[in-house]
Amino acid sequence: MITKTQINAGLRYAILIAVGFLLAYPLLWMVGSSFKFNPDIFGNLSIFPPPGRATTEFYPAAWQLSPSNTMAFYYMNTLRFLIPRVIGTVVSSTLAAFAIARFSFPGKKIIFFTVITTLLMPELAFRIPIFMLYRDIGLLDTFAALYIQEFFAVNSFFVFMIIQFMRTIPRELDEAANIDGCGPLRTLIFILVPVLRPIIITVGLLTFMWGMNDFLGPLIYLNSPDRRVLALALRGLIQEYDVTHYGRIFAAAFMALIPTLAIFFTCSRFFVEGAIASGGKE
Amino acid sequence: MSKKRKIPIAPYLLLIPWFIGIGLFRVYPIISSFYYSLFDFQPILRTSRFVGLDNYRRLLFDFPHFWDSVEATLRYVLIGTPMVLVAAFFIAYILNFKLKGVNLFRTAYYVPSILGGNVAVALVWAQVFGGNGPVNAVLGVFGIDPIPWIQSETFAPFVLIFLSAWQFGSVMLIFLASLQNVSPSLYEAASIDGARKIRQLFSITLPIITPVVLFNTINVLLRHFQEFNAAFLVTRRGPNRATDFLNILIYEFAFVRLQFGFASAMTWLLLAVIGILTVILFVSSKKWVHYSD
Amino acid sequence: MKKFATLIGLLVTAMVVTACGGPATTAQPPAAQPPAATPTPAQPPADAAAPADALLNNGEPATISFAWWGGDSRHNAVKAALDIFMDRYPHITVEPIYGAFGGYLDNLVIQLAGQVEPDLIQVNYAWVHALGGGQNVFLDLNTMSHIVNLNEWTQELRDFTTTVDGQLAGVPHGVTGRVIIYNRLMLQEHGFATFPDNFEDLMRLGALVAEGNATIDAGDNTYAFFPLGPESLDIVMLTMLYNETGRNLQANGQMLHTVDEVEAVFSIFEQMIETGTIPTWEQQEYPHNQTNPVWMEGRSGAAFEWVGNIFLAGNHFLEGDLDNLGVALFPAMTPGGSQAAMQRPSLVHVVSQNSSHPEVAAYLLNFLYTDEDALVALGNEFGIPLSNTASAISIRLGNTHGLQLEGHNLLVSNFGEMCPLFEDPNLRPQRFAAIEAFRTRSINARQAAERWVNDQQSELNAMN
Repeated sequence: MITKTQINAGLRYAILIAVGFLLAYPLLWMVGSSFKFNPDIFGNLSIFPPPGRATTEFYPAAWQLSPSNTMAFYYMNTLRFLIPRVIGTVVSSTLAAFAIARFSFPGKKIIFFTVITTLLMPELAFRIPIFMLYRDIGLLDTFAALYIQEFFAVNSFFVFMIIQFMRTIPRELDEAANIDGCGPLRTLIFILVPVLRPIIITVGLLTFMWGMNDFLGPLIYLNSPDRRVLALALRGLIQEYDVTHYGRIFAAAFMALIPTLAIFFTCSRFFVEGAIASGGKE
Repeated sequence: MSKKRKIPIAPYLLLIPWFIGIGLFRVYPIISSFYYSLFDFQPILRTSRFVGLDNYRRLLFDFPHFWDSVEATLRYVLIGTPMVLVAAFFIAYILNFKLKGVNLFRTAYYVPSILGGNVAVALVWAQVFGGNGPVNAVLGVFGIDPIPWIQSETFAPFVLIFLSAWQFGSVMLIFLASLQNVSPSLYEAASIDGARKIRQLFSITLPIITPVVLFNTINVLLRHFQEFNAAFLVTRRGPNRATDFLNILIYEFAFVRLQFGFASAMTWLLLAVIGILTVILFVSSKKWVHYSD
Repeated sequence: MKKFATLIGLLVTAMVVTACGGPATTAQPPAAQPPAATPTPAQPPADAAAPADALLNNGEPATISFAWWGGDSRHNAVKAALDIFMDRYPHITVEPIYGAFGGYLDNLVIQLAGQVEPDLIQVNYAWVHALGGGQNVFLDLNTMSHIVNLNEWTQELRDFTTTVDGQLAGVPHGVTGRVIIYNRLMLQEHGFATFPDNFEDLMRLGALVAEGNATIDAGDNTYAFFPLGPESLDIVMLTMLYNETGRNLQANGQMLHTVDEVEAVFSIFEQMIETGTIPTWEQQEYPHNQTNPVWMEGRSGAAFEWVGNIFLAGNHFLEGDLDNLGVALFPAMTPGGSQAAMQRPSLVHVVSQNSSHPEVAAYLLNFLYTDEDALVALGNEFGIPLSNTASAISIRLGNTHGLQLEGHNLLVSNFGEMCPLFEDPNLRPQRFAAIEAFRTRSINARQAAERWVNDQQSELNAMN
C-alpha cells in the first residue's frame, strides 16, 4: 500500500526533477543547438538535432572566435587578469579578516562597520573616479587595471566571508600557537591557513568565476584588441557582422562555459560550503 | 589577548593593505564622485565648469529619461527580488525534507548561479526567448500565440527577471543551511499541538530564519541593482527603456557620452535610492526579524 | 555644409562620369587615365615620399598604432598596405587595431577620455564634430602640413568637412550615403520592374508582399521594405523629412522642423507599418544587420544601406546573388516629389593629440593617401576617394564597378545634405527613443513628433 509519506516524497521528487530540468534546459538546448543548422534550431523544443542533420562544423568556426584570434588567445587574456586577481583577493582578504576576527584593538568596531557598509555599496559608485585615478597613474588599457584593487582587500564580501568562517574556529588553536612563541603572521600561515583552506579555496573559486563573467570591467579598462578578453570577444559574436549561423554562437558559448563548468563540478563542495558560509548567522 | 591592556600593533600592520584599499578605492572615489557631480566635466577636453547642484536639478526636473530608468530599475528590483527569494526558499524547503540525493540537487541547482552573469549565457538567453525560440514553442504546444518577449515593453523585463530567478541556487543554499539549523525539537513540540506542515512553516520555521531572510533580501536586492550584462546584451536596454537600468544609464553617460559630472550626480541619486531601500529594510526588520539570542 | 554639396557634386561627378565611360562592370584599362578628371594633377606618389624617408623619425625605431573598422576584406587590404609601409620603413612598426563597427565608438570614446587612443584613427565624419562639442579633440593637421600633403584635398573640402573650430581635425576619404538596395526577384513576382519611386506605390507593393504574414515572424514572413535596425530607420525618417521640406536636422542649435511636419512623417510611417510594408516592432528581430535572416533569405524587397556596404549586404543576399539586386533612390513622399540621397563625407582619418610619434602617424596617413602601392593594395575597400592621387589611381584601376558605382551615381546626382550633428551621441538617442516608443505603440504619431523635436531641442540647449 502506498502511504501518504510515500506520496509526499514522490511529489517532492517530481518537483525537484521538474525544476532541475527547467534549469538545465537552456544549457542543454545550447549544447544541442551547437550541432544544428539554423532551420533545426528554432521553432521546436528538441535538444537533439534531427537524425542525419547533426554537424560539428561550427566548433572549428567558433574556436576561431574573431578573424584574427582563436578562443585560446581570449582565454589566455582572461587568465592574465584573473590569476593575479585571485591571488590578490585571497591574500589580502585573509590578512584583513585575520586582523578583524582575531584581535581586539581600538577602532575595530569602526573597521568592521566599514566592511559591512562597503558590502552594501555597489561597485558602480566608485567607477568614474577610479577610471580617472587609473588614467593618472597610467593603468588604463593594462590588465593591472582589472586586478590592482583586489590586492587591497576591497571586496568586503570575501573579507566578511572569511571573518564568518574564522569565528567558527576555536580561538584556543591560535592562542596555543601564540604561547609557543609564534608571531601573528606565523600563526596565520602555519596554524590558521590549513584550517581555513576550504574557505580560502571558495574565495579563490568565486573570484575566478565572477571574473569570468566580468564584462563591464574589461569594457571600460581594456581597449586594445590584443588585450581583449573572452567576455568581450563573445559579445563581438552578436555585435559584429557574421551571425550567419547560430550554431556557431552556441558552440562558442558552450566552449566558453566548459572550463567554468569543469572547475565547478570538480570543486562543487567548496562552492556549496562557501555559499552557506557567506550567509552564516550574524 | 584581550586581557592585555597594551594596544597591539599587529592588527594594524595586517590591515595596511585594507587601509590603503579602502582609502584609495572606496573613500576617495565616493568623495570625489560627489565633487565631480558639482561640475560640468569633459574628460577629453579636460575642461570643467562648476555648476553647483545644477546636475541634480537637471536630473530630477529636466530629464525624463532618468525617471524612465528609475522606473525600469525599480520594476526589475521589486519584482525580481521577491521572485528569487520565494523560489529559493521554496526549493530549500523541499530539499530540507530528508530526501535521498539532496546533495546532488543542491549542487545541480547551484550551477546557474555560477554561470548566470556570463556573456555566453546572455547570448543563449536571447535566443531562448526569441520570437521563434523554445519558450514560444512551449506556449505553442498549449495553443498560446507566440509572445514577442524581447520586443515587448511588458515582457522584456521578465526575460531578465527569469534569468535572475534561474540563478536562485546560491540564495537557496543559504536558506537550506539555515533551515537545517532549525532545531527539530521545535517541530516536535508543534506536532504535538497538531499543527499542520504549512502552519508550521509560517508559525515556526520562518520566524526562526528571519535574520537569514533579511540577509538574503539585501544581497539579492543589491545584485538586482547592479544588473548590467543581461540588460545590455539580451534586451539591449529596451524596448522603450523598459530595461534601461540606472546602472547602464550611468555607464552610458560616463563612458559613452563622457558627461562625468552628470553621471556622478546620477550615481549619487542611485546610491540614495539603494540607501533608502536598505534603511527601510533595516528599520522594518526590527518588527519582523527575530534574533534568537 | 551647403558648399560641400556643390563641392562633392563636382568632384565625384567628374570622377564617376569619366570612370564609367563603358559598361559599369568592366574595369577600365590602366591606360585610360583621364587627366582632366582630377582637379589638380597629383604628384607621383613615390617622389613626394622620397625626401622625407630618411627623416622619418630620424631613423629611430618607433611603434604606432592604426585603428579602423570594417569587414574582413577591408582588414586584409589595410593590413597589406601596412605591410608595404613596414617593408619600406623597417624601423617603424604599425600595430593594426581593427574590428567591426559595433562597439568601435564606445571603445574610442573611453580611450580618448583616458588619453590612450591609437596614433592614427579612422573615425566617422560626425564624431569629428560631436566628440568635442564643437572643439577639436584630434591633432590639428595644419601643424603637420610639412608631412601630410594637404593639397590632396581642396581648401574648400577641408574647410567645409573636417575643419573644427579653426583646426583641421582630420582628412575625409570620400562621400557616402544610404541608398535602396532592392531584390529584383521579389519585385518582379509582384509586377514591379524597379523599386517604387514614391510612397503610394511602395505601400501598394507593401500590402501585396505582406499578405499572409504572421504577427511574429516564424521564418516565412515577407516585407517590401526591411530597413535594418534603428540606424537605418532613423535615416529613413530624416530622408522623408528632407524630401518633404528640403530642410536638414538642425542649424545653430535650433531644430529645423515643426512638430506638425514631423507628425506628418510619423503618420506615413504608421501607414507603412499598417500596410505591412515594413515589419512591425514585434516582427523585426535581431540581428540588425546584413545577416538578418529576412535579408539573407531574400524575404525582403529592399534594404536601405550605405553605398560602402552594398557588397557586404549583397554578399549575404541569397548567398551572394548580386545579379538579382538593384539600387534605387529613396522613394518620394508623393509621386513626382523630391528624391534626395542624404550624404556626408565618409571616413575621416585623424591623428591623436596624445601620440608619442605624431609625425610618424602623419607620415603613415600621407602614405595611405598618396603612395601608389598602398592605394593599389587598398583597392576600393574604403569606397570612392575624394583626394587627388587616390582618386586618380582609383579611376585608373577601375576600382569601382557594378552596384557600388550605381549607388555612387545616385548619391552624386541627387545631393541631400546630412547634418554634421546627425550622429551626435546626445541627439541621436533621442530620435531612436522617439521612434522606438512610436513603433512599440506606447505613443501616437503626434506624441512621437513632439518628443522627436523637443527632446533633441533640449539636448541642443544643454550643449550650449
